[in-house]
Amino acid sequence: MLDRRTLLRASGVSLALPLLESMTTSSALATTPAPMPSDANAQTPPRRGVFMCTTLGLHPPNLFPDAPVKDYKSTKYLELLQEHRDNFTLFSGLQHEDQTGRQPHDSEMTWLTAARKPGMGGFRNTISVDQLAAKHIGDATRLRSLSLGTIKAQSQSYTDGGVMIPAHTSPAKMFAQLFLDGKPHEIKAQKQKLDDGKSILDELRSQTKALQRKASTSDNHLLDDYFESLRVAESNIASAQLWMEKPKPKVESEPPKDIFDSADIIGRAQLLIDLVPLILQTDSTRVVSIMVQDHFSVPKVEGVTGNHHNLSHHGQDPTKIKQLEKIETAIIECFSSLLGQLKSKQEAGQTLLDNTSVLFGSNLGNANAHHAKNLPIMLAGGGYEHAGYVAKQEGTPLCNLFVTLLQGLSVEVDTFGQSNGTLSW
Amino acid sequence: MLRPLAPTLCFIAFGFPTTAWTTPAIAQKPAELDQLINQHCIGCHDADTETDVDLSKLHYGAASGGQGDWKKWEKVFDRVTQGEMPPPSEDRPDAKLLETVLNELKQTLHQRSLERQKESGRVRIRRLTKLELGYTLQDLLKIQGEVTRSVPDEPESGSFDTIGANQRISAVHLESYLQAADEALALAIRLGRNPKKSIKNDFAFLKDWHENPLNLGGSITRELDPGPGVALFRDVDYLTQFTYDISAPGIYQLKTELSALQSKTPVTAKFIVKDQSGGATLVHSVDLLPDEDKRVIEVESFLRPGEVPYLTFDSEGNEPFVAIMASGGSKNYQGRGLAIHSQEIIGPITATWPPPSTETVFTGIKLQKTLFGGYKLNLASDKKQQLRSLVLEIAPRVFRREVELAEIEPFVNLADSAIEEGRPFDQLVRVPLRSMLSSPQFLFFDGQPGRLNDYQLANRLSYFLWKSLPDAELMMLAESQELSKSSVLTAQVERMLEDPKSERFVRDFLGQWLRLYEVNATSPDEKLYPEFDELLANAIPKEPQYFFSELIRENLSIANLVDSDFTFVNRRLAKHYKIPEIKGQNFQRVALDESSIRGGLLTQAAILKTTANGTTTSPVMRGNFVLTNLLGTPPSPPPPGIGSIEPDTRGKTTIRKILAAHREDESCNQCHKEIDPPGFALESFDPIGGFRQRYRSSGQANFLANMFAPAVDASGVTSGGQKFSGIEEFKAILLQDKKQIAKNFVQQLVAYSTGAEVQFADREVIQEILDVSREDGYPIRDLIHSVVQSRIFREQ
Repeated sequence: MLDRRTLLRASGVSLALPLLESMTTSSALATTPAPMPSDANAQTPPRRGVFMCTTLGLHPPNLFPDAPVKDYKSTKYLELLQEHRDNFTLFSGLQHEDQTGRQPHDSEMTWLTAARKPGMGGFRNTISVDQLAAKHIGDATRLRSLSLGTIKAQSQSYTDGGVMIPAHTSPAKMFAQLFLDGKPHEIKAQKQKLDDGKSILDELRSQTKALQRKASTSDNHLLDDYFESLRVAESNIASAQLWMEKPKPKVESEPPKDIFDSADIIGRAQLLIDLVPLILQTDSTRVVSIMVQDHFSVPKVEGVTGNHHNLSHHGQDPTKIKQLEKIETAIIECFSSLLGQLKSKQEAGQTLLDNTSVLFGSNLGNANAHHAKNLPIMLAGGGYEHAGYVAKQEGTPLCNLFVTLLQGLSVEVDTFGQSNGTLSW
Repeated sequence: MLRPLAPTLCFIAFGFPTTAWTTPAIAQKPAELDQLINQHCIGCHDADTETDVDLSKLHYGAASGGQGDWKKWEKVFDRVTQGEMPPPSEDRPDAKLLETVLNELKQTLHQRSLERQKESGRVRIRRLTKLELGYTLQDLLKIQGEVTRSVPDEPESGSFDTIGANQRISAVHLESYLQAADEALALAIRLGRNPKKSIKNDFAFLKDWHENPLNLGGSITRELDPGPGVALFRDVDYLTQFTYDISAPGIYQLKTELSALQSKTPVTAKFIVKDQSGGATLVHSVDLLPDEDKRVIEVESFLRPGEVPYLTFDSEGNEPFVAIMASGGSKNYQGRGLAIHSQEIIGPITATWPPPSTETVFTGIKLQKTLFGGYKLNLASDKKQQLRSLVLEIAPRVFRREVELAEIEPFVNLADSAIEEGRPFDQLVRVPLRSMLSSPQFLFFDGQPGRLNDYQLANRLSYFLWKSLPDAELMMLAESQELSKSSVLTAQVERMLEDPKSERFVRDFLGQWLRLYEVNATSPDEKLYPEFDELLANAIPKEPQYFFSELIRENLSIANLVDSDFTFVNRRLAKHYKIPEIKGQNFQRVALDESSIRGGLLTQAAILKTTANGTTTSPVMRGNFVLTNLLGTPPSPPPPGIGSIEPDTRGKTTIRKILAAHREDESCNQCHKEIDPPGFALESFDPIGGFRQRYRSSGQANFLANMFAPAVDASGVTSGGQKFSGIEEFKAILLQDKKQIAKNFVQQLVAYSTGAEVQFADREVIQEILDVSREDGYPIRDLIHSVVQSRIFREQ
């Protein structure tokens, strides 16, 4: 197997590897031995990945500069990210193939998976890049991964079997789950569920033993499988129980209050985003996906009267574009605030952003045409050497960037989805 | 329709006295076998062989318990019996020697296979498949809806998923079984108020758009005049949903009044359900005739929270967006559309409330209505005793056999702490049930070597034809030990085949045997095959199901699999096949006249599409399908390191020219002379099963380019030297050997129904089944009966 350094070199990206220093954050695991495989590099801050999507595109003329250079001349949208100029790279030319689904928005499902023909009869999604990362780096944390959504349980995180992982939409609940000690009855219910599971598995184990003794001699492979599965499932429960026993990390922030007005999509997105640095710094999870969307509401943004979806079909109508711009500006400001917060947190002499790769973009390239080509994609932080604006050849697999990103997270893969290599810049 | 004659079948006890085979044979390799090998085989099959058979090392006798080299000896026996070995280029062995050796080998292989079956059972162990688990939970608890979505799909094993030897279980499975049980119990236990409600779509939210003709809604819909209702002009999924608010899972009725609008041809209304993970399922389609008044259409569908049912129509490939814009919006649009006079959703619909599923779980407990419209259980004071009697009631159905009190006690005891904590009864009842529904007793088919007892027989039969647990009648017959009587078994098979649950068998058996589960695994190239639309994609997989069901219902000859004078189509599929005058989207039996190129399985679009890749057809893929799936004589896999054939659709060359070059190589030709001809015969059919005389070419998919595209040549010569000009003549050649097709069919049934591949000792039984039905032309229903009556079906 290749080590991470080799992989990163091979991908043509130079990466500042974290210094060997003990973590400054107090890990929940610090006092007792980890029930899960401990991180080989426990000394260094862990690497994290955040995947954030706004599902109705970003008006391209406002986004892409004229020339693909490091010192690009700022555009309307990039101007909003001026203070983070050195912390991210904007790409053009990236896309997944075969995204013409039943309707254009079906590419929401495949932004992180690259499965083909979303929504068409017989379509079955595949594992998303964040979940693949979680499979490799999720064991050491309380949550293997976290999926957040602004309005509904829709997320862009999909399991191996192509099953969507429901998104959390309530920052208050999320905060409580991770940082607050539950009310006694809640803890009781949770414990009860785990205990029930444990005693069921226990009972099944003794029944299976009896069956194994009784069963015909030569071929018991299914019973043996079953017996082994009981063991693994029991250990999963045990680790959940262990985490229950561990004190949750104490944070100073006030618990957020949920916004119930679904039209305040920006406020809701901002609340979710404000949680992310806290979650990462306490090592509660290392993989987060955030989906910012609401097609049918009129976002509570000064000067906006149309619903987001209709505005995105602007038909070059300048008044509509102006309104669309306002919504998109607000969303980019959310992203900017995420970068700002990640930069302001220090760990082991670095910023949290240095150890966090943030992917931001959309599943639609040109929302007016509603096509899923030439997607707006930014990669921020993660210790990568950022290069301003990089124009890749139109049609370059977005999955190549995913592979590079995965390798940066120490996930030893060399392919993902439609990739045909890594992405270098 | 004709009713099938009561099968005048074979109540013959297949097989033979087992005592004849009790002496464990320490096999002695016969001298004649050595002689044959030394004279005719060892030249190639020695230690230096390039083949995978080294006869100098092949053990004649098995290592203890294992298969040893017997599988390889079976292969030797088969290849030599079929005359494939020694190869035609070599000297023929002495006929007498050959006969002696083959007889000897056959005896030995049969005997040792039978011994192995006696010793450890023909079928080792097998578990419920994902499909069987789902149906079992549904039928057991009287619920609808899929509760096994978290259960991993059965992996592709190259054979049936029922085959125990290929099955595995992982912790992911186990956790998913617990979850499936949870979901099933949550669906079953419903003590709240009846959530049934009705939501009417008044289309109010479209009003604004109707005023702005070029805006979103105004370019898609308009108000009906006379109203109420809307006219829909484009096939979209976001304006005419029944509701976004499904709050309780269950069966819902989608009720609409529809008519065709401004159309001279039928307008096909489509009822589609979008699920949360983004998939969309066409649940119903119906043709509305141009001169017809508005019609009430009611469709029932299982819906769960988050799913969105909506109504649209088939635009037949014409996207009218530009035309609508040109006419200044849908207000003035004169093109065809769907008139929606009313749209309503009602549900969930249950026979009673609380639903039958709740009564099933709480058998014997009175349900009392509360002040708030919910229900509470009228419980005895001894909760544990109450729980025990519930579990005792349901356990024989869960484990599908007689159950002793002692057996269930540990499950009941699991609820001890819950009882102590005072958890509500409808919660604590889930503890034992959940564990029983994840237990090996539930998931596995038990059995010791030897004859199945009546319960085991009921299980095997029920999972064969219904993919689910035995019903009350089967259980009763098992209890009274009547089921194993031949006449009773026959009557039960008759009853079960009449039951709609047997459609599950048809779907699953064809889905796996003919790989029809993969029929929509590829999407045809949209530029090359623009006619492939949602209605066609939905119709294609249904034809073989209706067709095969008919063969069973009418007890028709196996020959129909190769050629038939009828098939099943709806209007959309009929259009695809150019069969005129078929009305409606429901499937109907149609007679095929002499000149029709259709008939039998091979000319059905489902098979033709499954065996193509969406863009091109390959005679190799299709030939392989005919040999493997229809005839049961799979070709050897290609030697390692051989590249695949690269299709070329630019219109310069044809697949035949590419293959011809391939076949000039003798080592390729060895197998390809068998594989290619059936595939050539099917070249008259494109990747979506349409008939073609010329290939469509990519790049310039226009009329002229296609006129000069290369012509299809569907002629060929079989490896036996028989010439055919196309599929019709090729079918005639196939029909010369009906027995081979029947034999493969019976083998498939045996493997699928018992959960173990066909073994050497089974051959004799299969031969007998074929002998009995030969004169009648191997009727399908008879073959099913014979398999069920056979020794292999009735032994472990």
